[in-house]
Amino acid sequence: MFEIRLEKLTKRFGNGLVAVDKADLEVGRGEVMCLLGPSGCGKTTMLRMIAGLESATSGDIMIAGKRVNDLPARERNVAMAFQFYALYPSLSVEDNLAYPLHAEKLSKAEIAARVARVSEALDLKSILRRRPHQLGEGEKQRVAVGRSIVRNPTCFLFDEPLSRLDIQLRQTMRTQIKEILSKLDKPTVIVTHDQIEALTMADRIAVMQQGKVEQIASPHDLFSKPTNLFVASFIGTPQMNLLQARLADVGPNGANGSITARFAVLGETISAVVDRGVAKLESGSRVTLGIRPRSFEFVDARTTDALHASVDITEPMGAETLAHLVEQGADLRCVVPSNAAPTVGDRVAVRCKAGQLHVFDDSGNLVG
Amino acid sequence: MSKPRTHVIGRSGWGRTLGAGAVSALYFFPVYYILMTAFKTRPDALAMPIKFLFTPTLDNFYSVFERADIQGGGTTDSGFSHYFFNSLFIGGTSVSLALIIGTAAAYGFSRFPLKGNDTYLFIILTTRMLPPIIAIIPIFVLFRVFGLSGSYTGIIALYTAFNLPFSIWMAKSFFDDLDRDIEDAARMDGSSEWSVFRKICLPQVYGGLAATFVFAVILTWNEFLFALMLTGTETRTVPVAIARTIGGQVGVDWGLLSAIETLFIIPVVIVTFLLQNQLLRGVTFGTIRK
Repeated sequence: MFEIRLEKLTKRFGNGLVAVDKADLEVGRGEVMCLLGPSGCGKTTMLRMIAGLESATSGDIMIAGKRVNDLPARERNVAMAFQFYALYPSLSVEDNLAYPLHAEKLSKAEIAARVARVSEALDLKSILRRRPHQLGEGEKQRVAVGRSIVRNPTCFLFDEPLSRLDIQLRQTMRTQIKEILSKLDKPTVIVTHDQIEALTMADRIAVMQQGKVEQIASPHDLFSKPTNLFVASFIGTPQMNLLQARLADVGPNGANGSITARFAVLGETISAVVDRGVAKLESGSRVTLGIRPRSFEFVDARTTDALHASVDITEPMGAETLAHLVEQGADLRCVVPSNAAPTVGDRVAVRCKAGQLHVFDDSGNLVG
Repeated sequence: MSKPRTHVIGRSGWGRTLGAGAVSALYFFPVYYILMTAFKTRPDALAMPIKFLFTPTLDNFYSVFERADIQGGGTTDSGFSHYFFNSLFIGGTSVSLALIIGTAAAYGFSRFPLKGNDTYLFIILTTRMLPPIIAIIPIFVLFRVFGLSGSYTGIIALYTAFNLPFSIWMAKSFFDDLDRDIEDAARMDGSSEWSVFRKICLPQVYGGLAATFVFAVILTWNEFLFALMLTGTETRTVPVAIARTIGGQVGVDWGLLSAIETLFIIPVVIVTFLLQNQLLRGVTFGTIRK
């Protein structure tokens, strides 16, 4: 039973811009779904449609089994935390927290009890009397979260919840929000453009681009099985290496649905164990090979299935070093332990670790 | 080696303070002159060169309200207390009405724009583009036809209409500057559209509305032309009454005139003083974000 369900949801604005294009999405009870994508991909519009702040052009929005397309925001019983917090500037923190409860016409005692519970949980006791403009960014964030969890909504929506916090605060809040969400056991949708945020907080992630949902998967699957080139290049830092290649030939089937295939890439021929899906491609067809920067290992120059390139630049990143290799105009990004960093100008050989090669067909979809 | 000149950043020295003081004194001088004259006897008021040292008297203030009878030595009511009441009542009512209607209209224009919204706003403003004296004859005729001449209803309606464009434009700019997310948050929290306006938007623009109120009060309080043409003895406002004290066989009583003016500026000073915190926030509204 999915608590939030979007079916062929479309939003076309007056100027003809299609912000969300036939999107399907399901969020289960207690599940945290992150909408991830570059700015302008339609993720916030999608969130606002679930909230009822934006009307859908077509398609259905179901919350707790009920179609809510025609319900105004205030009747959907959905809680939302806004990117810029949207605290009520003329009310104290306490009144901000109590505001949604007044609308529910709860008794004074009940309101006080709930506000006390939330301010306890979020450590807001000492600032209850203050007004929003007297708060720091982290405190505002906590009040915003507090205001959304103080009542008992059917689901939670967060719009870029951590984007305004500095890095340290972001880490603390990430953990704190995750903890709170796991206790609430309600469907939650978080919009973010920060993949670390999505990868750490989400149970599943929906990657969006230009209004379309490209892939919905768990953080791990998204990383290890990106469905197409967009997802492959969007997820993971540093970016995945995408190399133009040709499929030379495919060997006999191996164990566990794998297969050995040979590819012509950067003037060399390498063989690798890949998913059996590659067998569907004809020999000689154009493919794109995807290799994560951390999937490369430096090997001896004479090793088979290695690629040879010159070291162009190295960027120290602390414990690891990012090395840029060039060969035939292609830039290969490899992350290696800093103590094994290559010297600039050297000729080196790198090989993709077993089972970490992604193969995309000519139209950019993952085949193996 | 000479001692380096020290300068505390963010603090001006006595020299600049003195300069600013001199300019302020120049500005304030006309007001000071009126205040001074209000406490002078008739000979002192007319003395040349100007007397800065004199024995103050409150006689002028008495004679604002009580006029000495030519025969008998008693006094009669000059009617000025009634004119002050008129000014307060007419000004207060019309400005308040304009602000209430203007705020509601501005919220509508800002949040529920009509097709051709800007055209309507422009049309509203055009009524303030022509000098009032051009409109005075048709308005005078209208008032005659509808029997509004000399009535409170007439002059209050007119002042309300004249303050409306200003109120609408000011209030709209305040509403336009508000963060829409806050209103959306209130909607999500279960507020009706009315609560969003009443509990969320309105408190945020109080400062701006206070500023609008003060500006409108000053304009209305000092209005002379329409008051002269359209009020009667019962509804006469102070500016008109002041004008009537000038002239006559004995010449201008400058002391009396100054006393009336002194009393006349007090309400505006009080309003401005009470709202000064709001006023500062109001006129700088929108310049400081979040």
